[in-house]
Amino acid sequence: MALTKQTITDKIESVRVQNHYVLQVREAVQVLEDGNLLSQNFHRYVLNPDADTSTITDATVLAQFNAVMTDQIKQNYQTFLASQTDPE
Amino acid sequence: MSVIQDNSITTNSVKPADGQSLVLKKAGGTASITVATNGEATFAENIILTANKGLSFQNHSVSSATGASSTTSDNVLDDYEEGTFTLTVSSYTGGTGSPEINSQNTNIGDNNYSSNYTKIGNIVCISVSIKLDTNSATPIEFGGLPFTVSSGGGGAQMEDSTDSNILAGIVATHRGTSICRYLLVTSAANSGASRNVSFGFSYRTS
Repeated sequence: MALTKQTITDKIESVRVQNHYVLQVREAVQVLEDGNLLSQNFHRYVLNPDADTSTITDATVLAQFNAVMTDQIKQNYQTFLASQTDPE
Repeated sequence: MSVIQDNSITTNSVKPADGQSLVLKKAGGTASITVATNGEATFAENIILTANKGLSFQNHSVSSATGASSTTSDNVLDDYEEGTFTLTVSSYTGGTGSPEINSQNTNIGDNNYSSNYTKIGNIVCISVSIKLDTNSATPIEFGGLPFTVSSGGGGAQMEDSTDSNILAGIVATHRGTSICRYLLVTSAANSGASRNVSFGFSYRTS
C-alpha cells in the first residue's frame, strides 16, 4: 500500500473574449493509493495572451498557449486593453 | 418487492406494487436509487452528468400568462467546482510596503492561507486573505483570478482582523482578464498599522 501525490493538468480551456482568447487551466492535486485515486483538489490559473511563457512549466499547456496565442491574438488583446477604462 | 409491467400505457415503464417503493440496487445489493410512493427519488450516490449537460430548472420558470416553460439554457445549472488559486500582486504603484498574500491571520486563528474559489454556474466566488504594511488607500491590482472576468464591477465587505473591524472596500474587476483591483476604504482611526484583511467577492465569467 503506497500513497503517492501528484499534480496533473486536467483541463485546458480556450475562452474567447471579444477578439482575443485566454487559457483557463485547471490542475488536479491528487493523492493515490497504489495508483487508485483517493482524493483530489483543484487549483486554477488563467493565462492571458501577454503571459510570460517562461513561467509555463507544463509542456502541454505551453504548446496550447503557443497554438492559440498567435501574434494577431496578442495584438487584439493589447487593443482590447487599450480600450478599457481603469475601474476605479 | 414485486414489479409489475404496466401495460395500460403505451410507453415501457416499471411500476411497483401499490404501496411499495421502487428500489434500484447496485452490485453490492444496497439501494442506489429509491423512488418513494409519492414519486420522490433518492440517490444514494453522486449524480454524474455527461459533458455539457446540467440540471434544468425550466419548469420553475413557467409563464403565468401562457403556461409555457422556458427552454433556454438560462435555466440549466451546468457547472459547479471548488478549488484554490494563486493570487498575485500585479501593481501597487505608489503604495507603502509590500502587500503579502495569504499571510498568517493570527487574530482569527486562520491557518488556511490559500485563496479559494467556488464556481456555481457562471458566478465565481472567491475569498482571500492579505496582509498590508499600511492601510494606504493606494489601489492594489491583483492578478491570478481562477476564471476570466466577463463583466466588470463588484464589491466586498472586508474584515480587518488586526482590530476586528469591518471595513468597506471596493473590488473592481477588469473585464476580459483575470485581474481585479482592490481599494481599501477605512477610517482615520484605523490608519497606519500593519493589518490583516480578509475579503471575498463574486464576479461573472463566461
